[in-house]
Amino acid sequence: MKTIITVLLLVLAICHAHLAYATLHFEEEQLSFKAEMGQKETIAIFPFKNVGEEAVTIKEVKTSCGCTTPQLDKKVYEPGESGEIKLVFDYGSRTGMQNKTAYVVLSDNPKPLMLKLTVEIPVAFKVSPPLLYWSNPDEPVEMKSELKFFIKEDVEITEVKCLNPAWEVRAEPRADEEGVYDLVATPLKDVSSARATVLITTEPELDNIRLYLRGR
Amino acid sequence: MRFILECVALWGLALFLGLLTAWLHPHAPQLREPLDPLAITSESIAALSESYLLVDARERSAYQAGHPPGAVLLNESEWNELLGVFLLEHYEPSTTYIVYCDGGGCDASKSVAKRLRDELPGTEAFYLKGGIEKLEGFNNE
Repeated sequence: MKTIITVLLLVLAICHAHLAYATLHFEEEQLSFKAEMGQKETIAIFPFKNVGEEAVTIKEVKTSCGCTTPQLDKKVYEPGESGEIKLVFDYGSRTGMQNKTAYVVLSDNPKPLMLKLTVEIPVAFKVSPPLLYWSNPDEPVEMKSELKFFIKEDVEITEVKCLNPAWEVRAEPRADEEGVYDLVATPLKDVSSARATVLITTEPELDNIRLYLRGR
Repeated sequence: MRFILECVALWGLALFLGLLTAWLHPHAPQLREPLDPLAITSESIAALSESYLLVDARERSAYQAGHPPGAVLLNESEWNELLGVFLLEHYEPSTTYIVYCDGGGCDASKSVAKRLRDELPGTEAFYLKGGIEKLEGFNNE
């Protein structure tokens, strides 16, 4: 009986060994944001407190993406001391729902703490598909791509400029769908191995509206 | 002798309870994680019959510091700037795209593979499980 109790106590001690590690308590381990149109970055602040009885050293903060930079005021936190980890997420050309993770590595705890950041980045427009590809480049067939605007205000296309004279490109508004255009490209000659970028200018101005054309 | 028997009995009891939990638990973890349909392993790349292109989804600085031969840079930070070169110089509808980033917790390759599939319907794009580390000694040319 004595042996069984000893072994059970040993098992319990092993099972709860992780509690002996110094640790930080975060108010929130997951933060969610909704970005505004035109916003370039999100700064997420994760406040924490050292709830252990020993000083905690943050060895490093690793992130799942080069686009997310961690910022920390200092590395050592005494018992009861509070601090914060800042994650700066640079959107770049990202759109839609973005999930980023940061791992907080403590010097005397082998298991890193995980922080999650979710940001919903609005889309201003979409060119679908962004590439028109002529598999039979000697056949001058017309091809279409869809340009759709998602912003609330009215957008007017002021210019459609094809940088290669081998194609003629025009934007036709759809009668049945507001804010949707067909970008119609017609080859004017054999487009074998030809390439083109089509620049679309709008009012109000939106960056990087492009369509790409290619012949095999 | 009695001590050993008691230890074995305890071990047997723990094993029995563990197996029972694994069998009855509604959310028991699978012993072998199924491969994401968007993922590809380095062993599977060698078996691809069609042509493929390696796509580097890391930041430009990491790509410039070193990348496998033939790999093309396409990341989400500079998607609008890099997409044109990718589509006009490298894209072929029949090619399979293997997207990689840093190993471990990197999620950039998954995002780029998914975006290629979403924006260019019919495109075969996969992210490499394990990341760039799995490509060491791998020659794409």
